[in-house]
Amino acid sequence: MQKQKRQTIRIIGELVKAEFKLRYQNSYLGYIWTLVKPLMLFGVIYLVFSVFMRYPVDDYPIYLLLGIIIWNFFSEASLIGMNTFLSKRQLVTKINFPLSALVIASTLSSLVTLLLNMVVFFVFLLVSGVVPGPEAFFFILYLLELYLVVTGISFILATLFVRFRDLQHIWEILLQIGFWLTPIIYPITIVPVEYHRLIFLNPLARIIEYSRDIFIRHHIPSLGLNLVLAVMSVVIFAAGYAIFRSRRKTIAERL
Amino acid sequence: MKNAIEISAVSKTFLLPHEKRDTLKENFLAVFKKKTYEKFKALDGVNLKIGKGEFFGIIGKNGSGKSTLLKVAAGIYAPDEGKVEVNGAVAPFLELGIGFQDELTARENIFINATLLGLTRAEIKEKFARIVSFAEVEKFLDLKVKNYSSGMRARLAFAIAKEADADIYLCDEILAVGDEAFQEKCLEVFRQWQREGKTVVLVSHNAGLVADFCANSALIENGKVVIQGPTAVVLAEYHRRITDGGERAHSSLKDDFRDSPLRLKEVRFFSEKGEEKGSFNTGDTIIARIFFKSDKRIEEPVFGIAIHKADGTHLAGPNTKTSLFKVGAVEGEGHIDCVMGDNALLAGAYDFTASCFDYSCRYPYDYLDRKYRFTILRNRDNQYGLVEMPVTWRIGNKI
Repeated sequence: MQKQKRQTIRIIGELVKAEFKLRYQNSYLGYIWTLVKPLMLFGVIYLVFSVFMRYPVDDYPIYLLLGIIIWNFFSEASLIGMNTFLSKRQLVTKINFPLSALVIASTLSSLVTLLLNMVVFFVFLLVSGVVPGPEAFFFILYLLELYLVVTGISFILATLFVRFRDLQHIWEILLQIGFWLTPIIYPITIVPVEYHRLIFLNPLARIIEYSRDIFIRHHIPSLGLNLVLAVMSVVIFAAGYAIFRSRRKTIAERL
Repeated sequence: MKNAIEISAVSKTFLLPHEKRDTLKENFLAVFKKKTYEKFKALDGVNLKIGKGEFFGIIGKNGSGKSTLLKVAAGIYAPDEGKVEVNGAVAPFLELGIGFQDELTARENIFINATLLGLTRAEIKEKFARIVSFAEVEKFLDLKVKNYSSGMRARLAFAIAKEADADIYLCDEILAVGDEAFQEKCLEVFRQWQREGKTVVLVSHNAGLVADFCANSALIENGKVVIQGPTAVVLAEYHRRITDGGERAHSSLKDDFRDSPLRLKEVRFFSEKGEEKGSFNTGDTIIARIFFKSDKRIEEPVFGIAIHKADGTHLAGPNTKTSLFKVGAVEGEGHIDCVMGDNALLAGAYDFTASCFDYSCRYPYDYLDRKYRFTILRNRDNQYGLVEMPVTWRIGNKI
C-alpha cells in the first residue's frame, strides 16, 4: 500500500514535469503567454471600470488583478483538467496505473502557473504601495482550498467528458456566466445584500474575496467564514473524487 | 502454488453506437432521436488459468477478442462479469507501444513510461543506458516520438517494458513490426525470461513464435475460448478453422474398408527427437507414424502417403514400393514410420493422407483420405511458393 502510494506520487511528479513541457514548448514566449492573457484582460477591464466609469474601491487595480488571476487559474485548470483523460488516452488505454494521478498532475501543473502569476501580483502589490501584513500567510490556506475545489471539479468534468463530449461547450458557457456572477471586476458592495448569500454559494467568490481581505484590506475573515469555505472545498473535492471512483473502471474503454 | 493469472467466467460487452454522425445537420436531427447502441460481446465467459513461469499463447483472428482479453488481464478494462486474479507485478506491452506521448522526446517518454511501470527515478537512471542501447535510439533521444518510425517505437517500447522488472509480461503482437535484427533481440529476451521463470502471455498471429515459446495456448474465437491446451493441438485447430470452416467429409470412403483385413488406425506426427508435434518448420524432419492392425498375415503390403494443400493441390504421394522399401509381412498391431527428412514444404497447413494397398497397388486395404493435418510454421528464409527448391545458378554472357 505504502509502496503504491509512493509510486503514485512519483507518477504525478513525472506527469507534472511532462505536462509543463507540453504546455509551453513550441512557443517562443512559452510561459509568458499565460501571464499575458490575464494581464491583457486586466488592462482592458481596468481601462473600462477605473477610467471610463469608476468603482468606489480602494486600490482597484490590485483588487481587480487578484480576482482575474484566481479566476483565470480556475477556468484554465478546469478546462485542461476536463481534457486530461482524452489527451492522455495513449497512456490510459495501454498501461494500468492510478488514473487519479492524471487529474492531480494536470491541476498541479496549472497551480505552478498560478504561483508564477502570483509573483507578478506581488510585484504589482508592492509597486502600488500596499505592503501585506502577516495575515497574508492565510493565502496558503486559500491556495490549498482553491486547489481542492479545482481538482474536485476537474475530477467530475474529466470523468463525465469521456462520455459526454458536449460538456466542453457547456462548461465554457458556465465559466463565462461564472465570471460575471463572481465579484471579480465589480466590488461585492454594489450587489444588493439579499443576493450575497447566493453569490457566496460559489466558493470562488469566497476565495477571491477572502484573499483580497488578507492582502489588501489587512483583515482576516472570521473563523466561521473560514470554516464554511474549508467545508465547501473538502466537500467539492470529495464529491469529485467519489464520482471519478464510481466511473473509474469504464474510463479506458470509452476513450 | 498460485497461478499467475486466473480468469474466471469473464465477459465484456461494448456498446457500439449504431450510426456515426459527422455533419452538423445529422447531429441536429439526431438530438430528437434516441441513440441506439449495438451490444458487442468482446469476451464471453472466458476461463483461463496461466501458471507461474509459464509462456502462454493466445491465438485467434483479428477481432476475436484477444486484445480485449489482454487489457482485462492488465487491469485496463474491468470485466462486466467474472473475476480476474493476477498474482505479481504486470508489465503490459500492448499494440505496438506502451503508450507514448507524441509531443515529448524519447528521453522524456522513457522517464514517464518507466515510472508508470513502477520504476523509481534512480532505477530509471541506472537502466537508462541499457534501454537506449537496446532500442538503438542513441542518436534520436531528443527527437519527439511523433517523428519515430513504427519500428523505432516498438523497439523503444519493448526496451522499456523489458526493464520494468515485472513478474508477468503481457505481449500483444510484439514482433509485428521491427526488422529481423530487432526480432532476434526480442527472441533473446524471451529466452532470458524463460530462464528467469517469468510469466509471459503472448498474443500473436505468428504461429511460429507461439509454437516456439509456449507449451500451452488458447484459441479465441468470437470472444470465447474454443480450445485450450498444448500449443500444437491448438495451432492445428486454428489452422483447420482458418482454412475451412467446418468438418471435412472425407469419411465416406472409410466405411468401404470396414471388412478389410488390414486397417489403418491413426497417424501421429513426431519430430526427430521423438516429440509428438502438430507443427514443424521447413527443413525439420517430420516423422509420420502410421498405426495399423492386420487381422491376418499379409505379405508385402504397400504403405503410401499423400500430401495436399488445403486447396486440394496434390503435392506428393510417395509409397513404400516407389521408395523401394521392403515392408515384408505384417500381422497384428504395428506401425510404420514415413520419415520426411529435411522437408521442403513452406509455411502453411498441409493435409495428410495415409493408405495401404496390396502389392499390385490396385486393391486398397485402407485409405485415410486427408484425414490428418500438420502445419509448417516457418520458412528458412523468405521464400515464396509451396516448396523450397534447391537450385544452383549460372550466369551467361558476362559483359
